[in-house]
Amino acid sequence: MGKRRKVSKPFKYKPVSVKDLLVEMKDISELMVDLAYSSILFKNKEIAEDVTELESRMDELNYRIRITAMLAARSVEDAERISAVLQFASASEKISNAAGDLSNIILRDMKIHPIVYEALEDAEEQIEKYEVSPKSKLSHMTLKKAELGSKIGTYIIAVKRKDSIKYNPSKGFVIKDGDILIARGSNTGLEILKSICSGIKTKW
Amino acid sequence: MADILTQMKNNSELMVALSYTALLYNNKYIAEEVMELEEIVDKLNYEMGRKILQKASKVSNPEDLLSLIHITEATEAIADAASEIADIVTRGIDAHPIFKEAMKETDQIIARVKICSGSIIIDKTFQEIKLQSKTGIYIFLIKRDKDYIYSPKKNFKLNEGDILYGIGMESGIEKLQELANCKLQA
Repeated sequence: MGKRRKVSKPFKYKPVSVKDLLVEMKDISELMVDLAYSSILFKNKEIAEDVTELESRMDELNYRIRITAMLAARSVEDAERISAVLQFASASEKISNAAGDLSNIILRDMKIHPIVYEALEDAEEQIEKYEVSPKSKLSHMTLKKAELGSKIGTYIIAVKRKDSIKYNPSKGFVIKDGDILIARGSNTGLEILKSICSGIKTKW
Repeated sequence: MADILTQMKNNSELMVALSYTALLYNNKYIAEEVMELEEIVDKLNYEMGRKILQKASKVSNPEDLLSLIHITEATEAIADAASEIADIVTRGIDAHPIFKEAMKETDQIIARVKICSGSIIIDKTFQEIKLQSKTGIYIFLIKRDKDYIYSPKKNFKLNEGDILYGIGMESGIEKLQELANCKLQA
């Protein structure tokens, strides 16, 4: 993902399964909320800008689900039932807007009250980022094989490689040394991940 | 004050995850959990507002509290939006075929099983009972009294009365009910 999109491009309608749209919207909205809080926690403008980028992806998905809904309405009864789809579209847009508002705190250089940090640091789920050392067993390993989720309860929500960020990496994603893993999990899980990334811990 | 905001954040994130799950699986029980959480978040939001106002009168520069107001508002908005998604499910509107179509693709369903007395999994961890490999069901949420535990870890110890929410095939759910010694099913 590159820089923040300045002018929003016109969306083009493409037929796509509603299921795929729903799943992607679920993934992106959860990711946006995660990243928005972590942009505050790390005071990181890059992450905050990525939230803005994802917001435009959500806008596009929203547009698609609305068009799909409208095309499906052929009678009054249809239209009534389709209102549920539109209610969903508007709600998911609200989530993405709220995440955008959170990241705006960072983009607008707002002074952040210490209580905010205290609250974010106490949350059950924490977000941390670690660089994968060449000594780490994770280097050249797929996420599937690493089993970080089931073994230590940490989830890789994004991987930063050079100038690009890969969000929601798939199971087949191969980790390389130098990658920066943005992970979500409990404090204990993240501590373990930290020592795995640095190469201190070789079994988990 | 930080603890109130922490709870708001935890609950609102849980609500987002659960509301989409409720919609994707058209599951009323999960939607109702979202509604319960919404009430909790509403109360916390009110409490947070009150605390911010109290604090504003004591600090020399009330503007410092702006970031707190922003985050509280955004968190409340996220919770509200999640409950709007869950509302689609609780109202039980006869879903339009395009929604139904979306749900049909999966054979997996949501299981809701309570652990009853005499169950062999009481006081055991997931690791010990190998629940997922035995039943094929992935437990994504546990409700214990008023608490919610989302994506519990392998070393999580189960108690009597815990309500397990899992995703899996119908056949696995029967097996899970057997292990839990109870039949409380969505």
